[in-house]
Amino acid sequence: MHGMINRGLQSYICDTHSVDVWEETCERAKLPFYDFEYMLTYDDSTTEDLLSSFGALTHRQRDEILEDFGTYMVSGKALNTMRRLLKFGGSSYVEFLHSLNFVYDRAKMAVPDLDIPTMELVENNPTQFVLYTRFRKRGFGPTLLGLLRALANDYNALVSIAHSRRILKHVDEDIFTINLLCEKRRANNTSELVHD
Amino acid sequence: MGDLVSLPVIGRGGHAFDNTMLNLLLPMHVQLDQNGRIVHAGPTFAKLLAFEPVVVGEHLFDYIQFSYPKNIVTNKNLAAHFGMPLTAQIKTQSGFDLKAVAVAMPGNAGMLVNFVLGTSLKEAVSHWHLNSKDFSAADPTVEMLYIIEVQSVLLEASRSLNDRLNGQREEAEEKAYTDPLTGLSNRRALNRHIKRLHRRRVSVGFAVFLIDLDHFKLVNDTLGHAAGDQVLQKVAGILLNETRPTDIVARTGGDEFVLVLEKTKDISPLEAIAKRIIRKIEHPFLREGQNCYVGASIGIVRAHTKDNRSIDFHLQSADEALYDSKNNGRGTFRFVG
Repeated sequence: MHGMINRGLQSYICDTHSVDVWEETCERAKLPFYDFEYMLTYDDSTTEDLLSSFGALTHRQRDEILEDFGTYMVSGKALNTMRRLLKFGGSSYVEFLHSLNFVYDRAKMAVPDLDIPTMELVENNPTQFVLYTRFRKRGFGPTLLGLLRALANDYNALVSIAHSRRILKHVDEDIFTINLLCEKRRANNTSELVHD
Repeated sequence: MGDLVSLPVIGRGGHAFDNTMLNLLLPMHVQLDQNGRIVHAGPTFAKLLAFEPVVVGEHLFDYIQFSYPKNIVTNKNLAAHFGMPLTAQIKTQSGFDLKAVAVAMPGNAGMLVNFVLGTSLKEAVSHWHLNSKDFSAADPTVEMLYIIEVQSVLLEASRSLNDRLNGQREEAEEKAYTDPLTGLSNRRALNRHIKRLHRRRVSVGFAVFLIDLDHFKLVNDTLGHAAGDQVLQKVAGILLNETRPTDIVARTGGDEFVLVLEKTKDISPLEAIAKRIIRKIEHPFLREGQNCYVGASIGIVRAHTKDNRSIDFHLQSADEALYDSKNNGRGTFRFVG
């Protein structure tokens, strides 16, 4: 996994728990260091080891941790850049959903070796969308679920999201069915972009 | 000039694009009448100038100052720069550089000025809370923003990584050239110093002192290694005191030290230094209630960078002089030749 993702996990554990928990997680995962570098790429097993030692330490399931991590990407202070870029996609949740079609290419353009899933949005009707994501690395769907939910919250949109996973031969396909129940448009809904 | 450039968004058949279309295509444009009064402003331009609702009839120059070319202060000046690259600033909000181009509207209907956020894109996006809908769907602003955001994160990360690596490199280098017990230079540093001396454009005379402690083994054997280490540290202090910062003081073996002193033409100052060193080293020092006695013998070579000899060559000759001193009852010095 790319250093940016591992570094994100590091921020997540440090911010939502403590540096102490982070260091213990690293020790349990038998990492020879405590700090991930943004610009290096690490073995996938390193990330898996981190997730399982953090899970064992906090008695939480991998899926639950990843979903929480997805939420943190949007709401946590450390990953402001990420949130800014996602929210730049539009002034409403629906606009944001449409912008997901371009996120993969934009991210690849900025960081060519970043590993993120490809995303395709299908609009069934104005209040129902299906997002298909495919990722070579397995079992990361819950991260996106957390991220989609947190952004709905951020846009003040009331949504229900159903998540299912298909294990294909080379990739995981995650399917998110998003029902828009209500979206309150604020008078100046773009102001939330920076105000917090 | 104004006649050459016609409004590109007006079709040749005379079908004018209406403002709704212009707002979508050029959300940061403004249309002016012949007197420079605002007739219509695109939605993003309106946002930047806090025109809400759009103030029609105001003068553009009350809000915008062109910074390049400098002499655009009236509508007429602007008309003389149709089609040229312009830069501008918002008067009410300093620090944001806009790029602009102005074109004439057909039929003497005034002009259209289109603005874009230039290098201040990132700051402007956060200042006015802009999102992708504030830009034309067919322009690369969002992509630029991705690059800018990621680059600033990576730049910061790379700076901190470089700082750390540089710190480690300096530390490693220092370790590689230093004798850990005394903090003096080691043999590697001595070689480097001599090579540097020879590389200099101006040739220089120098003296090499090879110093060997007398009775050091006795201290080690009778008082222990800790006492021996203390003696070596004391000697290091003495040698540093007797030399200038530009000279090099190295510990090259167990109880063997080397000094390289530059710009030493006369013998007498060298003799004086050698005598002082020997006297100070011979001075007993008290350790845990017991006096430690050591002495020093010195072999001295005088050389010149013009000779282009290696440090090993000089040390070999110095060693012969040192041998002489030892044979002459120790606690003394001898020059080579």
